[in-house]
Amino acid sequence: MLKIGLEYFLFIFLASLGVLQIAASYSKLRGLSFFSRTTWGYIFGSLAIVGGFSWFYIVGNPHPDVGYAVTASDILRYGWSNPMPPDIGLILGDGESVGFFLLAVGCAILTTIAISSIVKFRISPRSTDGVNEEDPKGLEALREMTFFQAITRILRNGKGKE
Amino acid sequence: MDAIISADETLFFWINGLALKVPTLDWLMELLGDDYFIVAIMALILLGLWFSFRSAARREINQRAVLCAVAAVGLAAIIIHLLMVYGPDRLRPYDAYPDLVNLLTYKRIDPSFPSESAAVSFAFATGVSLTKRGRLAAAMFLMAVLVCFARVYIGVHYPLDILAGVAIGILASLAAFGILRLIEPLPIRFIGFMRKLYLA
Repeated sequence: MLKIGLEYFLFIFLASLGVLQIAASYSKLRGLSFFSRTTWGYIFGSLAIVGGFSWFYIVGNPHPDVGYAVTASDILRYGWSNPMPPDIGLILGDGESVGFFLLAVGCAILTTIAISSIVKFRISPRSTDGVNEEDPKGLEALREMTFFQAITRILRNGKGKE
Repeated sequence: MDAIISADETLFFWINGLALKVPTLDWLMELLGDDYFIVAIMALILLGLWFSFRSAARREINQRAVLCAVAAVGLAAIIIHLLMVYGPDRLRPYDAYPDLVNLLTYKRIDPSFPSESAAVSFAFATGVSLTKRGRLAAAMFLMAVLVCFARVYIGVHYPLDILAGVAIGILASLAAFGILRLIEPLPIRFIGFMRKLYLA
């Protein structure tokens, strides 16, 4: 269980990081990109996606002879050890693969936010003093500031209103 | 009914008979027919679609398409699981004809009918295409068709299982699209909430 679950998580995590960098480059979200040039975002994104898929399908995960779908109750019952005889391979059950997928995507989003906010901490937002009507909201705001700067802006405004 | 089953099995053996002749094609079909491969690609496309936009109008269309596709896949998965529990318990081709089928992958232990991969991939493609037409939707439909063909080629489904899966995927998407319109403005409010978190 540990092996297939961890492999699937890392595969989706790496591919999601790549997808987010390509999307950030395409949408010109400077505050979400790891790089100052969009070309590097496309290159990094493509390499992360291809690397994740290649590792999962070529290196990390040889096919079992019989695909026994591991369920959440198996995990609760057997923990992270392999509950089946070693000659029976394991695949993830539907719910479990969705769970690992969402977990991996969530971690990739948090990692992207953290790394981009750290490497782009010098980015100069248009305004951090207050939210004007013309100020971009939502993802559009990340064209001009990092996620941490955007959250800081909200917190400052909240304190200012008190 | 017997005539339909007979035609279904004839078509299966014709498609599955193409296997084990061209190793590269076998490898490609095994990859396309894998449980995770195309589904992961389509789900990652949705992730990219959520964050990709050039204008505010385009962003909203993209994010509505993602919501519709996610709802469609969820609905399709529920229908498939109900049919697997309460529907006909059809044996997998490699279990019904162990000496005649060219099996290119591992053995599954769930019923053959209906095909979950076909349902999920068509739910993804139709869910996106109902809101966002264009090259992306066409590419997703192409991927869904390739998955369907590959599942028969590698020996895990009969064509009838695939057809049932396709029908479930399309119907689930139409239902999800209708439900999302019915519960308006909830989808808009969800997107609005995510915008407050700078995630939409």
